[in-house]
Amino acid sequence: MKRVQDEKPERSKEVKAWMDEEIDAQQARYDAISAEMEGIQEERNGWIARFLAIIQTKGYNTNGDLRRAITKDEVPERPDRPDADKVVW
Amino acid sequence: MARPHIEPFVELNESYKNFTLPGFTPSGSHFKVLSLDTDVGACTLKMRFDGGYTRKPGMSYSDVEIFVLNGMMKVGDQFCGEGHYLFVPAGYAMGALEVPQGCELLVMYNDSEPSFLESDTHHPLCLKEGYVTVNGYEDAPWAPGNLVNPSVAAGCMIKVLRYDVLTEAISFLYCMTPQFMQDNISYHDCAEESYHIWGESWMLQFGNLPTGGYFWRPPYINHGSFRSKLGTIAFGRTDSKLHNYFHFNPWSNPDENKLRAAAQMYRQRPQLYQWAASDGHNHPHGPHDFENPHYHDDPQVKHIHGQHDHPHHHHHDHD
Repeated sequence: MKRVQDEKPERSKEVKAWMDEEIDAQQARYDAISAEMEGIQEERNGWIARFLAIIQTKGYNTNGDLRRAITKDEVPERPDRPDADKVVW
Repeated sequence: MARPHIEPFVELNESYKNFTLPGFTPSGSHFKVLSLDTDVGACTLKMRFDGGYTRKPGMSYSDVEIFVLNGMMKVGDQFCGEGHYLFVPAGYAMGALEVPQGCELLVMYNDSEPSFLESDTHHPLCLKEGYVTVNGYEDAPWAPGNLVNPSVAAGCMIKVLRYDVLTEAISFLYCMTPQFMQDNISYHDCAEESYHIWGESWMLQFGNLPTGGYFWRPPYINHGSFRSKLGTIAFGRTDSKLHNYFHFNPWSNPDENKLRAAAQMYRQRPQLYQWAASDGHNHPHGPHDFENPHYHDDPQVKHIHGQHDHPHHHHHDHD
């Protein structure tokens, strides 16, 4: 079943140039965001520590406002791998 | 799906550019790219039309979603003010635009790069019954967040603006009350997009997202826990069904999250899992559906399965 989208004309030179420019700008934006997020890792470590404390006391939200407290044995540990602290993928 | 993970991005710090693409009137028309699919050109733009801007009736070769952030524009005979949402199917001849005093919009091209062709009649293949026009602030009710289950915590509410019956993609407004909190980590099978119209929220991975904050997040990426100190109202979208996978491991990666989602399917829908996983059934273009025999041709279905006619334009390695 043919759709309108199937009848889109080929990209013109102007459109290709616009795409190239915006792809490059997006790549620069992505790189800046990744660097900024890596830069707040120390602060994030504090947030993670706080989160792990909350889920052992108040519990974590399993569904809506239902909470279950996590036992010490269940608390995850930071894995030893290069992407362990990565948040922008 | 070739939009990179853009999160968090605060667009208020960026300048507008003149919209010079063929078919668009550059005078009085400005844009910022929030995210862009590097293969097919689908994109989310923030746009500004200056006071006095006009455009003749016309169509796009892509489905387009529009949300009016501020100001007012007239589309044909209809006044579209703050909070107005439009879904304009590809080939739909939108009425002439008039912008008396300026406006800012979110404009989303779902299938390809922005295109505009002057026309006062719909394209013969246009699925014009898909057109949606609604003021999200005035004419759509708030619903509890448990519209989706497992659910977000109380204090996060949603107004559904559009629901795609084939993919269950939704476009919506959502809000978080002041002092909203949710102590879990979430991910989804779908891509998720959000723009903070007003207010702020906080996530464990990304910190604060203020007014003008934006994200495009591909599937299976951890986000949360969540806080909103002062409250927020935002526009959001998914590209397919939204399912909340909640957990409490801050260090799981997208591959582990995907495996965990598949393990849930293995346990909860065992027959379907076995059938789909067995040799010869996992057809790349999808199995036959007697109720929707032409769903393979739906642009959104093709898009979320990475099927497109354009050659890859660029490749960027984000690792």
